[in-house]
Amino acid sequence: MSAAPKSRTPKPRARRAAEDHLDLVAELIEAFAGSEDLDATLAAALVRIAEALDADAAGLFLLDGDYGDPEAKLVCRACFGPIDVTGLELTATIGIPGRALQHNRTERVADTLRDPDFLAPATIGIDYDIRSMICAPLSHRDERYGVVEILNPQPEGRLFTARDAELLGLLATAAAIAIRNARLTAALLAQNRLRQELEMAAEVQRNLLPPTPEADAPVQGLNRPARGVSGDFYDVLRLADGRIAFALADVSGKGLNAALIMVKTATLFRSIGRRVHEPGLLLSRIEAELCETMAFGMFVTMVIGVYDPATHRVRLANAGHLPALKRNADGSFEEFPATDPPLGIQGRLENDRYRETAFSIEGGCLYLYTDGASEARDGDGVMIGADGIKALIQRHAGSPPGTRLTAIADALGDDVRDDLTLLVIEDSEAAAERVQPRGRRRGVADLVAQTIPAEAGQLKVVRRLVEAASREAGASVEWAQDLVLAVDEACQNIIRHGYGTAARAGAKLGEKIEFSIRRAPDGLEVELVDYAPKVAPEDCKGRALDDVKPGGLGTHLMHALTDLVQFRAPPKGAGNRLVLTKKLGLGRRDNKTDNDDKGSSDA
Amino acid sequence: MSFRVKDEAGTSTVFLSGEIDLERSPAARKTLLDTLARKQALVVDLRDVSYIDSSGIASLVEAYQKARTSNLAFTLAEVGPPVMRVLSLARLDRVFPIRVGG
Repeated sequence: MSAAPKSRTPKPRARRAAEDHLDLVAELIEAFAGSEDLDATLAAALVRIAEALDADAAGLFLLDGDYGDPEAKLVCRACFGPIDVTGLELTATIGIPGRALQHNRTERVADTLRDPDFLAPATIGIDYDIRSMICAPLSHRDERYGVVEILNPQPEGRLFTARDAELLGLLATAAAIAIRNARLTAALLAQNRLRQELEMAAEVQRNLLPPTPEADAPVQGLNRPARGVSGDFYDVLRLADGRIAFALADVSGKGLNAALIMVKTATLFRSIGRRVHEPGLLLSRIEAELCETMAFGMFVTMVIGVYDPATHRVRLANAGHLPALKRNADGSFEEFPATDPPLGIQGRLENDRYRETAFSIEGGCLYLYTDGASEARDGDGVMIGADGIKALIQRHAGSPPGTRLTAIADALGDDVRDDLTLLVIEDSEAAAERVQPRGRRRGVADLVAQTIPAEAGQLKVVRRLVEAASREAGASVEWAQDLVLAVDEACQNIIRHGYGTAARAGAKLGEKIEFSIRRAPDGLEVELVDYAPKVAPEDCKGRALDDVKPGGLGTHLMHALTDLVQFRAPPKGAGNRLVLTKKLGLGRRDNKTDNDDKGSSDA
Repeated sequence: MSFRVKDEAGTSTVFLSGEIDLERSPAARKTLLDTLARKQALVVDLRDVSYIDSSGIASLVEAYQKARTSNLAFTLAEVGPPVMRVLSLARLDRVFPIRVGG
């Protein structure tokens, strides 16, 4: 403890004063410590002090403003005596109270007539003539809360002694500590209340987010607010026709304002999104509503999309938000940047729709994120940007979507300065590839999934499997025969042309075919993955039919016997992925033959 | 596994059977070409063929072309629906002389 001898009342004298009024000091300190209503306690204490010091009147003034400020006031909060001056305001820099406050020490004026600083109450219109007074600051260390004064009137009032001044100074110090504690408590309470309110707001917001699905569900979102509340949000709506609408938005600014706009935007998406399923139109409708109430200078960046699992296609509209990221099956990325400005700026007409882009995510994933992700910093304090996010996506591509988002968010670190929101849409093809790559996979929709050696002797196995799957799908014998032949021909192409050509050139390949059959909308889909060199699509066209020579016929049969022959992006490391789709429509077989009749010449 | 061949005066008949696929069409092809070497009219009896693919069809086409260059009669006999289906898809149903089964 540093000795800082100031012009304070010396301790021994203070102790003597305290001893004289030990009961009063103990009583008041106890009252201040246990006080729940400080104003009432101070008022009661003032009466006890006035009585103990034999004063005619007493007043307690609290400082309003900074004590050095000439505009600051001392406001009477409690008084005792013949005149009620509660509410009276004194200038905090003048008079005896001003001197006590400014010097932070107890001022005793034994006889007012001899003190030039004394200002008679009459000068401010109060009919009370003071003979003697003591004014003590209500202060704790250098923190000043106000003053307390005791008065005796002209002409016969008792003159206050130095001992009286010491006691008042002591009691004023106890009162000041009580005031300080009360203020700290009040500030803490206010802080707690604010925190509770923010927690409630955050809870309301969390309830606006869709529930967390299983980790392997295809559409996943993650929201980590930088503070309790978030200016970001995402939502996912499952439409009646099987499509999935999704949205991700970021409100400019942070804190409660942003959170309130976010709640409104989320509510609009959910309500209008039930009826309007076109992303560009939906954005316009939300914009129209938002503009009505948006505070000046605020805006919302938002991406809305609709994903159709049956066609693997996504329709997307981007209003001023960061680019949507598409990760393809081969690990490459494509970006879909904003095509229009953010919401809340222009006030568009209701039917003036935002521009849309449409693309396939077959075998891949679509990612949306807020700047909380791209502006996260790496170990060197550099913002990771879109490239950093791509790297994280790449690193965790093998995990189920839910686990993946959590891993990415964790990798972004605890030092997230902004709200962080991520959304992923994983195509069913990508999910199947991830769950069981190399053709051994057996998703729910897979009827068959098996790897076979690329040998002629294995074809009868393939034929039995296709036949059985066709039967299981409810196909006719003829339909099954057609698909069996088409798949057989496709396998032959792989064995003879794919692996065969490579083998003749001396290449040693893992000669196998990953073979799977699954239900497609209204039919079956047969997939063949090989590790032979890539086939150029033009090599797979059917031959001219009047060309009667062996070879080339197989490809023609594949096309003639199915509805769709498609080379799709192969899984990593594979050469080709061929998918044959055949629909289970009535009369398909006859139609097919009829079509073939057209335009082909008789030999 | 080989296929039965019946020789009669002036005509040889090859009885193809089972599934004529990539695995078995080389054997079918060899039987057809070997039989043609006897310089007799060739009948290919397909009644027991339950399945034929493009490689099997290719074997038939090759044998047919060889017969024509050798001026030997070539006939597909007892063609059942599965084989007929493939022949018509390949537009070969009007190329081969066919004696429909039944």
